[in-house]
Amino acid sequence: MNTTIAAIATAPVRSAIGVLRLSGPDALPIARKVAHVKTVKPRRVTLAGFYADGVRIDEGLFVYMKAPASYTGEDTVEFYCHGSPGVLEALLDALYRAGAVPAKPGEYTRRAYENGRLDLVQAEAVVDLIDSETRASARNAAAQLKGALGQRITPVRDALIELCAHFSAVIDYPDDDVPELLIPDAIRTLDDAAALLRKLADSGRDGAMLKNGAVCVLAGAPNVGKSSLLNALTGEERAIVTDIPGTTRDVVEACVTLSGIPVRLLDTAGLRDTADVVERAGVERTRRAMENADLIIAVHDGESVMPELPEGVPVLRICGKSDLGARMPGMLAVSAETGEGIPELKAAIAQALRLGDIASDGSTVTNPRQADVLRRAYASVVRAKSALTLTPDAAMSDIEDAAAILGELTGQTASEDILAAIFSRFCVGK
Amino acid sequence: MMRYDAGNYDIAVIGAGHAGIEAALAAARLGLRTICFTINLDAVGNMPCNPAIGGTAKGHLVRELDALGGEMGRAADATCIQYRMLNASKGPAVRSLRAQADRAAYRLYMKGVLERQENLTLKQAEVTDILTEDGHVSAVVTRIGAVYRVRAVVVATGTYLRGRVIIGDVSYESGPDGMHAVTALTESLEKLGVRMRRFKTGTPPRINRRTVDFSHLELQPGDGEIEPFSFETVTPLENRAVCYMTHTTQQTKEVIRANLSRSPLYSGDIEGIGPRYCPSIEDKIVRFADKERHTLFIEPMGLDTEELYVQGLSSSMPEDVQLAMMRTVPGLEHAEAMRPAYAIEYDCADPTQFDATLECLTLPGLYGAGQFNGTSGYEEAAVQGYMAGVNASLKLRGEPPLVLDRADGYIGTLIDDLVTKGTNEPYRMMTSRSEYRLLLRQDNADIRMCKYGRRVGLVSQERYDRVLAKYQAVDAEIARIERTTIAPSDTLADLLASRKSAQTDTGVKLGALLRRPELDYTALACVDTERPVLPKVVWEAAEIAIRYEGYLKRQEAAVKTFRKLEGRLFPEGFDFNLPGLRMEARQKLSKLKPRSIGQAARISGVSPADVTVLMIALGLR
Repeated sequence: MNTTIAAIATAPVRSAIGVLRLSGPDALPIARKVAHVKTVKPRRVTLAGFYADGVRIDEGLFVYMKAPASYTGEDTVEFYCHGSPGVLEALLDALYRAGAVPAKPGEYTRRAYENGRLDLVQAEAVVDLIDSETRASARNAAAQLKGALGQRITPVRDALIELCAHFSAVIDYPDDDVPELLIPDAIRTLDDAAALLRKLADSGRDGAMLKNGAVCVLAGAPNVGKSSLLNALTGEERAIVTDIPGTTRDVVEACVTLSGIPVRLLDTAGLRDTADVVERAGVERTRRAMENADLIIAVHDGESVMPELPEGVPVLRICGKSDLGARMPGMLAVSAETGEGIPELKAAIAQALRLGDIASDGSTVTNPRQADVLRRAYASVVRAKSALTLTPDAAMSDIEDAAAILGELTGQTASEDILAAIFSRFCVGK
Repeated sequence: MMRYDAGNYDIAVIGAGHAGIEAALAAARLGLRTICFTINLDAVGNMPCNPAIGGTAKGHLVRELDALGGEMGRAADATCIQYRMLNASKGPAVRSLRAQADRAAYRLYMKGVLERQENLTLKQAEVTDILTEDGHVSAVVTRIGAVYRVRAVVVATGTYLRGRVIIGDVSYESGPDGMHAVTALTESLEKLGVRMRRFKTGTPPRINRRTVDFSHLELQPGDGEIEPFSFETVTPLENRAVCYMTHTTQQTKEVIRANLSRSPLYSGDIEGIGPRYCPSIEDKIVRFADKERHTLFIEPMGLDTEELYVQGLSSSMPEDVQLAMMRTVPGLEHAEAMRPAYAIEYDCADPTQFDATLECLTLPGLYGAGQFNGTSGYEEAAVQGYMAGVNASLKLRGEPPLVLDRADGYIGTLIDDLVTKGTNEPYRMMTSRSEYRLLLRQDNADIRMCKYGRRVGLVSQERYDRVLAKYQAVDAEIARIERTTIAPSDTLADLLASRKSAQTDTGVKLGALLRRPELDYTALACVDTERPVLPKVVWEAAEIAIRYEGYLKRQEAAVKTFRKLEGRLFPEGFDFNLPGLRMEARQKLSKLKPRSIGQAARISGVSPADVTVLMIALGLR
């Protein structure tokens, strides 16, 4: 039984189009959990909505290539979406949750080779390509090892290795005086490990913010002064400002750095029902931007009605145009014209995004592959805990799995470390 | 010295210890004309260390060897005097059989088997030289000048090669148990380009039973119901001896501390590398200073002798210090040492110069097994002897080799570790070394191994059919359990209550009940009224298959992934100097010459990128 692998096939930079690729026996069912398509025919391009956690993230094209007529010789699905690293990683993460596993460097080519799909010319080209890819990833891993993520994972892995060594010592040296492994102690170690692994896996949001910047959407009724605010916050003339409601049609983006974290500010079309086709498309984009935002800055002006905002995204409500006398109870009053309240607004954004809490020392998970490793390790730890009610051999196997999985992040192999721990900690052998 | 022609053989086996025996028997039984050399005919199958066969993971090895058609399991069942199934409560994967052997009986049994084996010549002689022709092994020469022309040689020299015994500040040239050492062969091997190294091991004192006070010692009896080593043993076995337990005391520590300066381990007189898992008592006391006491086991050396083995008291201290130590141990206050503890250093080969068939990569026709390959233990030696003997024979017969992989069993794991990773200390098998532990159990060694024994011809069709029939019965019982529904009843309610298991008011599948950790097959007998009468080995196998189903499935999936790369073999003479490979990888691969992509990937210094290059190159050739 082969696994189904998934990866982002295009470079991890902002670009017009980004491609995700799935290969393996379950490629189609996994893909269809993330991409909603009406009908699927092999080798036909279909329009698809892409979803993560039930939320529509993007829309794009979907192609299914049936085995053996694909690059790898297996069932393959490709998604063509918008080339935002954030979108691609969210979708990749969704594919992992749906059952795909991360592709190892060179694994598509390996599968293509194993299934006899590669000819001489292609193979030679691929060797060079993979070589460079792997060197880059090796450098990357080394950098992370030195970083704080490694430092946070290492104690968990050490605790698991220690536990495993204890199990092994008890099992391999039954006649020695190895202290009995106390189940409550083992449960405590496993619980601690599970809690930290869970927390690290969930730190993906912080990681994405670190890497791609936090996304703040300026939203509100047309002509409440969102574009002026964008310019005031960045100190640049990024957005066109007029008195005409509905001037901003597409999403305009600008970047500021708050508490050392890049924050992407998105100025959007004012939300209103409109007959203008172009403006309506802009409103639709605004809604999508809001759904994917880390924070919505809802700009009130004391008169216009605030349109409906999506649920589940934090909202910072402010009152704009304070120079014109607009005031709302409990809201920060700002004026793009006079600069009143702008420093306070920056502080409020940083606070709402909890930017101060983000560890910028590299201890957060920055890519879906890392998050997947942590989730698998977490699953093994949880299984180990339940195996304690069965027999030690089963629990030991789960703990070894968890340590080995974490080794994928730290680049260490578990078996020799376990042996070393047995002989350094326990007086065994005759 | 005049050399003379002493005859033609197919295979020479140097050494008749546990490795040499299996090598010689396998070769002779496969029809190859075989000669087996021993330093002393009275030391065939000797146990110079503990008088026991099996133990954790080692019990697995004995069973696998038995299912392949090896001799060790049968010999153990014929001569063992006390059996214990270790880790009985710790799960089916880690249960291991260990038995006390009657050492003299075992030796005689093995000597007799070798003597009576057709195609096999057993000879007392010291081999001093190995000759080659055109880079291939061609003959062996003994100390007295006899030249035996052969086509393959299995080296199984144990601790004899330039053996040096160390007791305190005294050291002298010696093999184990007072046998003489072998000195010339190392030089011959080195001349042939075999890379040699020096390892160390040790053994505790033997004492006279008459001088031990057993009145305060804890008795360690054998199992009530004995499971034999060999799947072929049908006559019920019985325990005929007991062991005792005692322990070191505070005074023992004081004696050792006061005399540490006299230990060759700490004075630097020992150059060989000893095993971490076989520490001397002085080593244990230095490294684990806080530990108040260390358990010792008193084991009989046999039924017809008063000699006892003191497990746990390995030492290279001077004999007077050894005696002073024993004076501080309850029960041994007046013990009389018949043989002192000693450390022994010996020459052995770096196992990474062998391939998975245990043939030397640089010298065709030369095979290594046992301590010569850097391992420790009778069982580790025996399985390698079998594999070396079988592969030497298959090669001479022009047949494909027998290579067991890590997923086949502990034998495959052991050999792969040796030839792929090498070892820096005498290598001992442990359950923690196997990644497929839950699949590779001692109870299913028969179904895992018999097919290979049958293929090479060391297991009869009749025996193989019996194994298949057993597992058909297992499958039938699994199917019955899965389809049986147990209706609610007072009996079921009582059972569930007594086991603190969740109650049920509807019918429930027997399989579901069996999967509950708090229940088991035996307990469910009271509600499983249609249960057939089955041998224990059958229902136990069914029980394991059901209760550990999730684990077995996960490991089976892992094995499939593993085998995919393991089956990608490099052709004969494959050149690892490939463009695209890093220099370190080229060197390592050229030196170790892995069989498969899978093995190549396990070599330290070979990166995933290198593996990809290899895979593509392999596809092109």
